Amino acid sequence: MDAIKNLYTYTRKYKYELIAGIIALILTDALGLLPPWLIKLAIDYIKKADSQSHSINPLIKYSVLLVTAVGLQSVFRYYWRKHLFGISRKVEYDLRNDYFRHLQRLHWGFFQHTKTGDIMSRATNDLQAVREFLGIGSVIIVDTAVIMTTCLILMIFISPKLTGISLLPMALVSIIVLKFSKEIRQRFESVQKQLSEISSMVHENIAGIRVIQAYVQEENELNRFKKLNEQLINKNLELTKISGAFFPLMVFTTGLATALVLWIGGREVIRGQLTLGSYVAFNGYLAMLTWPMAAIGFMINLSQRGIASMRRIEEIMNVKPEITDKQAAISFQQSGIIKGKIEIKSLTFSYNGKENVLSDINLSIKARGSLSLAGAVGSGKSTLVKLIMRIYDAPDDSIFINGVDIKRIPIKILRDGIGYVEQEPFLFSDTIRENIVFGVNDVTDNDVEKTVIMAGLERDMEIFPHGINTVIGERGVTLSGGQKQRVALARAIIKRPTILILDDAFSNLDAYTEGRVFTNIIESLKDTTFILISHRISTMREADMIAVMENGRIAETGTHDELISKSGLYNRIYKKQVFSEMEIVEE
Amino acid sequence: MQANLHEDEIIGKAYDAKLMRRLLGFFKPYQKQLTISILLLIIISILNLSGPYLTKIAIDNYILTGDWSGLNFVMAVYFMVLLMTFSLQYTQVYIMQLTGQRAMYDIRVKLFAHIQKMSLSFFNNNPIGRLVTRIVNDIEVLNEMFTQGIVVAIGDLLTLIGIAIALLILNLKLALLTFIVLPPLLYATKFYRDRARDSYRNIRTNLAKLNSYLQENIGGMSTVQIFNREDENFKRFDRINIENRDEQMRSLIYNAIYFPSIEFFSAIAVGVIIWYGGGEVIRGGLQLGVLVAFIQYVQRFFQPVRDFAEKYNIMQASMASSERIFKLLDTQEDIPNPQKPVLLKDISGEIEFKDVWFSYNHSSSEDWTLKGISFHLKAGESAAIVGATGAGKTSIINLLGRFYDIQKGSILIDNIDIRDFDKKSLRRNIGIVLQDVFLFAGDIENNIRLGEDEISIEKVYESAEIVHAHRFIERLPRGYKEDVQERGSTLSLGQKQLISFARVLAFNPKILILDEATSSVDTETEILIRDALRKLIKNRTSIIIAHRLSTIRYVDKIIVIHDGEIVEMGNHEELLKNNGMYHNLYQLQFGTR
Repeated sequence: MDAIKNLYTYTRKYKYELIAGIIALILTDALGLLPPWLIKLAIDYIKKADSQSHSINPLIKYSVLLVTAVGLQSVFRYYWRKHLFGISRKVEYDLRNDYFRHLQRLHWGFFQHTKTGDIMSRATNDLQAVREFLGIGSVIIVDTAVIMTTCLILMIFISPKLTGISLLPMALVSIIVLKFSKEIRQRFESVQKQLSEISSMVHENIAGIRVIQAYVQEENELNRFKKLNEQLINKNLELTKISGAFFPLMVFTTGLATALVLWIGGREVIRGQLTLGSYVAFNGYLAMLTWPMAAIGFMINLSQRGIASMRRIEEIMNVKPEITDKQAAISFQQSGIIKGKIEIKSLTFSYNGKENVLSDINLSIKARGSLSLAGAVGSGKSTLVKLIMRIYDAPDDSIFINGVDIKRIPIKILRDGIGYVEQEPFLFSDTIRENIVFGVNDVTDNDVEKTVIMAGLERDMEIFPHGINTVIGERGVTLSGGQKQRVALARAIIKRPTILILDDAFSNLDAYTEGRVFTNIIESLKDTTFILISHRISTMREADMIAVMENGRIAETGTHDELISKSGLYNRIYKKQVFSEMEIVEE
Repeated sequence: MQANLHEDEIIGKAYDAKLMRRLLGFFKPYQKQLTISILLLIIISILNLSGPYLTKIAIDNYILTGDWSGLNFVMAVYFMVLLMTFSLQYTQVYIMQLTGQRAMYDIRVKLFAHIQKMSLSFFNNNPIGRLVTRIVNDIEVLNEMFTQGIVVAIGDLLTLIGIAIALLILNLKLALLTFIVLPPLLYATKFYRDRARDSYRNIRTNLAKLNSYLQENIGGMSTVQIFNREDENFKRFDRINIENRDEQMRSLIYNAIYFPSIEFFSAIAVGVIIWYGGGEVIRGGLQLGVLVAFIQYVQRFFQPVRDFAEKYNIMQASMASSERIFKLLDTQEDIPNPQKPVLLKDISGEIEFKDVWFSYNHSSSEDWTLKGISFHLKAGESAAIVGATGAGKTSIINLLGRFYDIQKGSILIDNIDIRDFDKKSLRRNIGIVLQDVFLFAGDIENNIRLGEDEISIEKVYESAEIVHAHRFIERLPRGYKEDVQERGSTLSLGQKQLISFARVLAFNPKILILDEATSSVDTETEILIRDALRKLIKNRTSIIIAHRLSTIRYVDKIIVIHDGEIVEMGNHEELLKNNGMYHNLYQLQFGTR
């Protein structure tokens, strides 16, 4: 019942609105009982007055009362709608904000293991279910309680016998709603699933259209598309088979109740056991009962779904952020900006607690120095740099920056000091400029311009329709892999980081551009400590020291010349590259 | 999905006769079903209205006179009416859904097939997200209109007319008096509709913004965290969230005013009936049963009005959707098949470029990407194209498969202009390996043979074996049945390349076009790729955009391109001796670095 308790906490914030809304709703329902009764009085009066000539004054009174009652009812109805539905909107807002805030605190590993679509569907579909439960649910509870009891009392007051007879089909309404809406929802979801399957098929088809056209696969693709759509038709018809019966069945059962009342009630009127006015009023109350009866069924489904959805949202909200500031970190805050001396002492790391990805790493880079990490894919290079930024957490006392264990440095300060460029960077669908100034607050146009030149982007800017203010992803202006890498580079160096990590950051550039850009950076960021991961010897050799990694261990360290003279792993890589993998330089 | 939000959110008229006529064209094959459906609707509306009338008969003719058997008879009729209404309603809904689904299927397939024929420049100008929205979401909106909007609207309209007629027949004067509430009711509805429409539009835009921002942030969360952007991004999210909440509240207020007001109008109508009608009964000008029936009819009158206001949004959205769908359907194929296409069967593979001029920009002829390219390749010969980025290398290979059409000159295969060939048979004879390998969701086997059933499984294995892909595929947990995740994210770059080599080999084309990947792979895989490449170009006329020295050394001819023109042509040794641009490029590689 945690879900309900949690929802209660969110709702409590708006308790005055809730109380006001509930009072307005009760008044609305109470006023709603008047019209049928007034009509009953009017008809009974008319019937009595039939023979003699009576004044119509009482009729005027009844109509005015009726209009006044409904007028007042409209006012209260406005208030309960505004308050009760309003609260659900406000709670939705609060929940959505909290959800977003919470996601921001979660560590990288969480996003690696949880599909974006899954996180999204909790923020959309589940949130919607919770909102419906809160909004419509609260109304139904009050409504049902008030209308059911009062209507029933009045109906029994008019005729206990008729009440008994008419309630039978009405109970059926509840059951129908309950059974049907659940089944409908399941079939509806299966239709939605089919639709999203079609979406992803079309998405893939268009993304790979060049291959499809080049290999003349259009016919096959069309057939695949047709098949998926035929399945969609079938699923839709399955849904219609049951949803199509739902509404007519409701009409049928309520009609049945009315007919029964007319039949039995008519006999009683003939016998003189019931006045005609009472009969009409009874019918009015019976009609009023239809909605609460249906609502009971709805309510059961809504609450099941709402609570299940709240649980799903909580599943994410309960994930603990793994990478957080320690208590001891606070004192460090005063000592200010980090400097770039990095030491790694007997670092062993594993993602799952079983296989070690890194074993016994010992490295030291002096401030303003540079280190290259060499080695095959999967040798642990990327993991190592991720630990330095605390994207994953290394064991205590294994990585030190300027003599302080990085786990005692506040995360914000640590990351502020580090620039990081990865092989496949993530850019936001904003302008190129916004992407470049992503991590800095006060920045002049001059700074941006300089950075653009440093990253070797100035010529690309000329090609884009709106230059640096071109929105990435808009229309055909998507960036090439090399452009993305250079924008990400600009984003990192505009921070003037104390430590710059380039994790295979130039893989989509040709050797010439890589060399040019790299020289730019090294010359402009003189106070920066560099960590480089690259496949190209020409880049690796620029570092003060090269560490060659193999299966999570450091196989050898030294300068380029030292390592070449040994006949180790580095030497082998070097020979292969120089003698056989030479690339034709572009430009 | 929200690639082009702004355009998709434009909502215009709720009804456009021209669009509607065109839409109805898709229903022509289902005329019979449509007619039945509408006939059923009319019957249902009449049946729905008979309830209060039967009540009137029961009261006036039997209850007030004390006729037992008459009452029983009316009840039997009432029950029959209910049963009939139920079955007819169910049948109608089913037929309509069936028809709607079939018609939507037709539109969707037509649209999909149309898009398959478009050329690359079309796809460059239309983001994927937008096309997916057209094919899936926009057509769903149409479906909603047909199965819920139009049909319900017709039903509602019939009910409204039916009630009005019933009232007028029952008592003309009382009916006219009751209609007094109509003008203010219509005014209130219009007032509400206008505001609800704006609000609905804003809500759609806001929700789309909110969700795409959330999605983007989930995707780039590590970047957000590394750059300490949590607070700023949260502020932005909150701003959109507030906007959304406030707009939702506004729409809620409109509803909270409009819907209760309808009840109020209904109460006024009932008040008038009691006042005036009641007086008439007392004066003897009206039967009591008529009065009761009047009250029941009037209460039913207001439901369809409410529905109308709610259906308006659906109609608007669907008109906008259909406009976008038709616009896409009307986009002309820019590289159509020739009138009398030459079917390529067994070609030898000879290629000739004759003074080829080409520009991506149709309107300006200044912007030439290729300027008078001419070269000739004998069947089985191979050529490497080298040059700087933007020199026009990629354009050359795009032209051969007619992904774009040239403006001047001609491209010949076996001495026939490629524009005379049947487009599909032309492409069947050309194998293309792109720089960025595209893998489809599905298993590896399917990625090699694609949808082609004619390629046997043995052929798939054999092809993979030749290009050195077999070994690593076999080592995967499920071998050739291993699922390649979307865009092949589970495989390494080098492995993806080898799979694309296997693919082209399985199709065994006479002509091979290969755009070598620039991205670096580890050294082991590099050696495999290099060897596979040699096997690929053997006995095939090949054009390769080369980045590897090993490739360049192996081909018969090297074409050096600069600024859209061929500056040098020859083999490696000849070109080195020439001391030209090739020599410079080569020196750059060995000299300075």
